[in-house]
Amino acid sequence: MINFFKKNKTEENNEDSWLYSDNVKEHFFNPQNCLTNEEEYDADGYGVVGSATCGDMMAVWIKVNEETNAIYECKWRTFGCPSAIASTSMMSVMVSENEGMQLSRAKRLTPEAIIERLVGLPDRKYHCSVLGHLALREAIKNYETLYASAK
Amino acid sequence: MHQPSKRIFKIVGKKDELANVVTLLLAPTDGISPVFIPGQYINVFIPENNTPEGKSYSISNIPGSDVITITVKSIGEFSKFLCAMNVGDTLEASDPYGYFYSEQNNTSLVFLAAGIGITPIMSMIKDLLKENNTRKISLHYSNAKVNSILFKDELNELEEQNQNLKVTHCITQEKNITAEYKAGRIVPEDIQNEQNTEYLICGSISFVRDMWDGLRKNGIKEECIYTEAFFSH
Repeated sequence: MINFFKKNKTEENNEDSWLYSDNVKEHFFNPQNCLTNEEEYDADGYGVVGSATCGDMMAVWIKVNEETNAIYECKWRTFGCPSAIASTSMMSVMVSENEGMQLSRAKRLTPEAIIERLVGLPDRKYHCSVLGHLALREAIKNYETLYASAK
Repeated sequence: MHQPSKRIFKIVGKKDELANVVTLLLAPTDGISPVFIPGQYINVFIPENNTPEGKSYSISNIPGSDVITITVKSIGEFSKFLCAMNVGDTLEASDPYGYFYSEQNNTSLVFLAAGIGITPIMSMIKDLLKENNTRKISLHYSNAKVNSILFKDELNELEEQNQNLKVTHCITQEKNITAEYKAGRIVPEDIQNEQNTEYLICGSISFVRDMWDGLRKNGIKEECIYTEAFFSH
């Protein structure tokens, strides 16, 4: 049997590598901040990208501290592959850890930053990390639109 | 749910840029001019290729026209199909989308591009320079060979006409190049970390990763860096 989760450090980040890092495995098997019931979740901003009928789909919910302009909670749910799950789980941790990430900084949370924290992601899975990043952008846009209209 | 709506576009022009790169001029058949921000892309859908999710192509022209252009390198099955399409053919594509553009209006801009990754950057540069631009713009453009530089004449012309634009061509796989070109890869660690400057990177996944790593090693903050990675279709 092929070991899909075997780590090979020399092949991390390699174009031809299809092996997952320990961090990817950890976030896939134990995803953080996944939201299963949004009915009871009162988010400040919500974004969803993709389409379940023709590929991956990603939804992100954020709560924002109005005084600090920082995201203090980031939840997500996906119809996606292990890489999408792991990279969005990591993204949600990065956004909400410490005192929370400033919105201005969260807008520049690039796939490269997420992949660095995952200690690599096979290049052919790069697009999975883009999904979470775009859904987060949509959630921030949603929050800023709502906030601006409420002012 | 955010899902850009789709429209049918007719190919109203086709221009060979390089041996394996063409620009397609796409006019929406509903007659409504496309609205976009330079740096954005469209998703192209070709049902025959069994790709219901579509493939993304950055827009290479500037707003204000009845058409949008995509510049496509023939490197995968999907892009080969696109490059083989002819004037008069139609295709389905999404409305423009994406966040690869500066959200400030007074920063200096440093663009780092490799190969076909110049396409969204070309759109941004041309748009910035069409009016009285006072922003300082640097483009570091990496290509394997001199004859693989995309939009070479246009970039030369723009640089000649605009004091605020500085273009550096890096050539990675050719010896005996003239002094106007720099031999070797872009070295992001050599790019100055300046105040009030934003950095936009576009190219292959490995190019974007290397440049992003290098800029950060140079002390440039993550919030000043925008990335857009291309993968072959």
